[in-house]
Amino acid sequence: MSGSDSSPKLPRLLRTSAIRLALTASLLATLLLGVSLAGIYATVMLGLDEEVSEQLEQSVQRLSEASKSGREPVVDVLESMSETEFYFLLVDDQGVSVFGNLLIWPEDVEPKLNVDVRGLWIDEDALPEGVAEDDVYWPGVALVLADNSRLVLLRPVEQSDLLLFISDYLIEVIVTVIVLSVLMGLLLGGLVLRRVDTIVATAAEIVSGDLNQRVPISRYSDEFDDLASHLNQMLDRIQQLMQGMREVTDNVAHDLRSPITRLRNHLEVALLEEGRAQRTEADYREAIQQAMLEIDGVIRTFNELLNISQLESGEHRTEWAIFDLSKAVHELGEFYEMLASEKEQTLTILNGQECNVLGSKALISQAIGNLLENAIKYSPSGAMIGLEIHCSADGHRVVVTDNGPGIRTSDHARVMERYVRLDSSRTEPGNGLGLSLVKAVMKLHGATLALENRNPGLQVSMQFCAHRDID
Amino acid sequence: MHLLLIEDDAQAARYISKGLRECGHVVDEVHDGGAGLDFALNGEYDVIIADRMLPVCDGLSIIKTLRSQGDVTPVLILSALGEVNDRVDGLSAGGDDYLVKPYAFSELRARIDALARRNMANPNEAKLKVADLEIDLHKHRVTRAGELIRLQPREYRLLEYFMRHADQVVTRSMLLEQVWEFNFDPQTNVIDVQISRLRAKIDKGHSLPLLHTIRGAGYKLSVEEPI
Repeated sequence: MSGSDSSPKLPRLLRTSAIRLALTASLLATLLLGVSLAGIYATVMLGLDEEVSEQLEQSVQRLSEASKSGREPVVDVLESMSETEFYFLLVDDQGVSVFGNLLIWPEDVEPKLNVDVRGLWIDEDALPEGVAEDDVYWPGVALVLADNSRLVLLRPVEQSDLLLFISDYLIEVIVTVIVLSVLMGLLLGGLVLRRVDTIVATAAEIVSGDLNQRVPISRYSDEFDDLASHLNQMLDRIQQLMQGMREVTDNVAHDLRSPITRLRNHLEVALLEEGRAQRTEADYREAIQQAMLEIDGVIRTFNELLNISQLESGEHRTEWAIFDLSKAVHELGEFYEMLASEKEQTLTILNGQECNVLGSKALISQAIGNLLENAIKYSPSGAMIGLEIHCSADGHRVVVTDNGPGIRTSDHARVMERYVRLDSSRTEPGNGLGLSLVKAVMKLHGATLALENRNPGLQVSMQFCAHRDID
Repeated sequence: MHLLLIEDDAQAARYISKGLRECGHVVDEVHDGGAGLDFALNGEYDVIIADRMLPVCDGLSIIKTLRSQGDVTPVLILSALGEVNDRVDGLSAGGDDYLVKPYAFSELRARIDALARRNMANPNEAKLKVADLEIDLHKHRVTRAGELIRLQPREYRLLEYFMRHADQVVTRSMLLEQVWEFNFDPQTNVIDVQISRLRAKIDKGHSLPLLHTIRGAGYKLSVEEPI
């Protein structure tokens, strides 16, 4: 992109679907992470609580058992426990410390007879030196023994490093994940945007008039290249159609301008004030009839041009059907036989057996008719004109031959173009569209057209596929 | 005849209905499909002429509605769409004939006459007769003043078509479609050649010519000399 476009690029980047996708994904990932961490935390804590309460319960059992035999055995038990992780304090009924590794009786702890495991937060004052109350969770129990002395027993739990990490850095983790995914989204968005931008740029150039532009295709052959190649194919087709349209317009202008001018002049002259007195009604009728003939010619040319361009653009397929080409050829031969005999020419029809072709009967008939008309028109009287059809499994061939003047080999390609009328034929009526229509019909049907010299005369062959070969 | 013309191009409609009136028809003229359907459903017409592209309700829908109500009034479709499959669409929607713009007024008129006549024709007739020219449809025999005329099968079909449309103008494209079943226009005067061949067989040696050429329009089989 050019420099002037870079300022709106960031907001555009933020609008891309890639970044939306990345943000959604990171949000979901964060949520999932949070939920699973909370789950782990809860499970671990519950497990610890259970274990600790069991230990406490066992100790309480032992201590209550010992207290029945007096204070000494209790102190013995406690002594044996001092090597373990337990913290405790035994005070007599006056509140005087008897034995223990806690310094003072923790505040707010009322001794009770039943076991009660609770998370207590013990004041630092109560702890022996070197033991920090931070990060330690103090489940414990307080009880009154048989001789009314009171005992507090605590089993501290150090929270594990992972759990600490989780609880302390949860927010930071989430923020990091979000920031990283935004960055990734921006990066991905930028990459996608670059690909889209090339397509947009091509489209913009086409909109501004350069229909030759095509979307560049990268070496990755990914979905963007797929899209690009489809767009390019579409553009090719559009260009082809536009080209066709332009040609039609040119042709219409070329072909219709002179007859329309003629028509206009003719009518104008017929209405001139100057000669009005001499003109009779018959003159007017004559002028109008002439004008109508002229218009008929214009309409005919117009229709044929339209027809050819529709054929060339490949519309037209809906009326296709399978029909017997042999029968159609025979009917056409019969139809034109009389026209030939009018010029004292002989039209011989060599018929084949039934052979099916998929296509438009009307169009193919018209194409064969055009060839026959050409043969009859350009051959001198007395000429021999042949119409043959050869059918085989490989395809069907319709051949029109004559022994007229023929066409020079160098002109074969040229006569199939629109409006090309060789100098030798200029005196005959016609608009030079006949063979181009034949060519268009052949192309539409996937058939081929070939011109050959017969010396003397011309042979035109149409090679059709047998119907199962088409589509 | 009583005709309904549904055509949204008001000027074209005016020309056509003027022409048809001068030919002795009574013409109702409307310019949109809604009014057209209204008139078609409530009036008694011999032939309806409907443009295909119309505001409010297009020509094909009008025909479909009429046909669904059991109305069999012949409908001639006028269309600016020239493709053959459009013609197929139009006819399969229930239209009786299809004429592509630009068309000649004489063509329109001839086809309207043919449609109206078709509605009255009796397909089971045994004989057709124009003056002293006669076709025996069962025996496929043609006679003029009692004298047998030998015709090729195609010539016979051509004559039969003329006899069924006696006193009507028949255009070249009608003949191509109906007699030869060709849906294209030959560039040359091949039809004229066929007609003059037929004329030679039926009119030669008789003082009263029956098969006439109507300049700029077509042909007519008639006792009367055309103007």
